[in-house]
This record gives sequence, structure tokens and C-alpha cells, in this order.
Amino acid sequence: MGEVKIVITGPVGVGKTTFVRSVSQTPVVETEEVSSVDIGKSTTTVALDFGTVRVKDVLIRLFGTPGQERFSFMWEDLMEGATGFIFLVDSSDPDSFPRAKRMLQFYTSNYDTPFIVGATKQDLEDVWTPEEIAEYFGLPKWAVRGVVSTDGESARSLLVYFFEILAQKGGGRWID
Amino acid sequence: MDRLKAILQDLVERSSEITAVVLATADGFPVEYASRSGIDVDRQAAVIASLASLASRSTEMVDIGQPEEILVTSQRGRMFVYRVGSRAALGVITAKDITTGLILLKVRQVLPDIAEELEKVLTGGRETV
Ligand SMILES: Nc1nc2c(ncn2[C@@H]2O[C@H](COP(=O)(O)OP(=O)(O)O)[C@@H](O)[C@H]2O)c(=O)[nH]1
Ligand SMILES: [Mg+2]
Repeated sequence: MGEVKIVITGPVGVGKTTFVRSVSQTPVVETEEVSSVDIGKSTTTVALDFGTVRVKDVLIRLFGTPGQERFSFMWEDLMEGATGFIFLVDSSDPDSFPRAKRMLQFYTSNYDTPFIVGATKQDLEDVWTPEEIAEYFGLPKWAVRGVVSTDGESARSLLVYFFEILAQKGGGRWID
Repeated sequence: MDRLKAILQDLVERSSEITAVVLATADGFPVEYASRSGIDVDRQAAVIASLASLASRSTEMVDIGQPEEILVTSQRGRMFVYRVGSRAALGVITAKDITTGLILLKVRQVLPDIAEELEKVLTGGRETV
């Protein structure tokens, strides 16, 4: 039985903590603290989220990052030893896309680790489709998939999808 | 000079072993600081908030209550972190050869004043340094 580390990252408010919470099969570690500025929610992750989940015979250790740039030292620390990362984007908030794009560039320019983009909040109305988001981010269609972080099944299927892609692509360059 | 700055400045000035103090909100913004030399207060505030939160989760998990003091002993100095209620944390950077218990004593003396002033800042809108 193998073990892998997967990092869940992306800007603030996209659903990283929710994703780890809803998919984890063990009690999660959260570092939510009261937000002192208006970020559209009352608390924010200041260090990490941690949970574990088994997919087939693999034990996945999930590490969620803070979303805000001042915690970018955690972005780097948490990537240590990661097999892959899932970059979450809020499909209902196109205003956050430019910042998301810069943050994704931080990851892709510093790491050649495999990743996919999860287009969250697909349960809301009038959201961008995964295809539209792929186009915006300049990614192939297969690299972006819709997800509802609040729904454990949906979150799990994003992980399963990531592992299928990982198995298909094997080594080599991740995205041409 | 506002009172919070004065309290932190006093802490540094009266204790030669303390090189810097940074008061950060629980979500990692600097509120106020005092330092003998230059300090990247924005990054320090974020790290202090992370440390404080992780320490709380660690001690909660093993059911030993909330941390009173977090001590990191490094090659050339020490760093202490104290939670100030649930909304802030205080980082204290010191020289290496110090009586560690003394820092807790000194900080405890001013913590109520810091908490009181902080309350005003947090309710009156956050000021950045
Ligand atoms: N409708 C909907 N809300 C979501 C979804 N994912 C997260 N949220 C909500 O978005 C807010 C921010 O989520 P959070 O997990 O704290 O975001 P983080 O900053 O990325 O960790 C919370 O109110 C969540 O309930 C989703 O897929 N659909
Ligand atoms: Mg979070």
C-alpha cells in the first residue's frame, strides 16, 4: 500500500479548507483564526489544513494551504515532498481569476509537480464552466475539472480523477 | 506616540535581552512592533500567527489546554510567542543566553495592558504599521 502527499491550494475563499474537511476520513487539523479584515468570511486558514483519505489502496495525506499571500512561506513549506497539488479556483468569482492566475504561476514556475485545477462551487448558478476556466488559465481541458467542495463525494471524485490522470501520464512533462 | 507602541517600546528598552517584539492579529497582520534593528514586520506577523495557531491545535489535540508560551530555541537566539486572547499573538525575539522564565514574567506584566489597547484597535478598525 502506497502513501502520497497531495497539497490543496488556491486563493482565499475558494473552498480549500472545506474540501479537506469534507473528503477526509480522519479528524482534520484546521488552523482557522478570526479574520481582522473583510475577506467575505469570518475566519481564515493561517497555517494548514490536514486530513487523510484512502483511494483504492493509496493513503492520501492532504495538506491544505492558507490562501493569502502573506502566508506564502507555507505554500513553499507544504510543497516539500508533495506528489501533486490540486489548485482550486472559485468558479463563481471571476474577479478572483487574475490573482488566481498569478498564484498558479508561482506554483508552476517553482515546481514541476503534477497538478490539476478544481473549479469549485459548481453547485451555484451562473458559474464559469471548467472549459471556460481552462481557456482563461491557458490549460488543456483535461487539467480543469468541476467540483463542489462542500460535497464529500464530489471532492473525492476530484481526487480519483487526479490519480487516473497521474497513472495515464506517468512521468515526463506535465503540461506542454 | 500611541499607547500600544509605548508598551512594546518599553518592553524592549527595559530589557537588554529582548531584541524585538511584534504584535500580530490572529490572522497574521502586524498591529504594532518595537525593534532594536530592522525587522520585516509583515512577514514576522504572518509567521507568529501561524505558530500561535499551530501551537493551539497541537496542545488541544493532546488535551493539555491552551499554550501559555511557545518557545523556539535557535542557534543565535530565542523566539517566544504568546496568544493575546483569541484575536492576536505577541512574538518576542531575544538573545540566546537569557533566563527563559523571566520573559514570561515580563510579558505577563504587560499582557493585560496590551489586550486592553488591542481591543480598542480591533474594534476601532485595524491600523497597519
Ligand atoms: N456553494 C458552495 N460553497 C462552497 C464550496 N466550497 C466552499 N464553499 C464555501 O466557501 C466559503 C469559503 O470556504 P473555505 O473552505 O473556508 O475556503 P478557503 O479559504 O479556500 O479555505 C465557505 O463559506 C464555504 O462553505 C462549494 O463547492 N460550493
Ligand atoms: Mg482555508
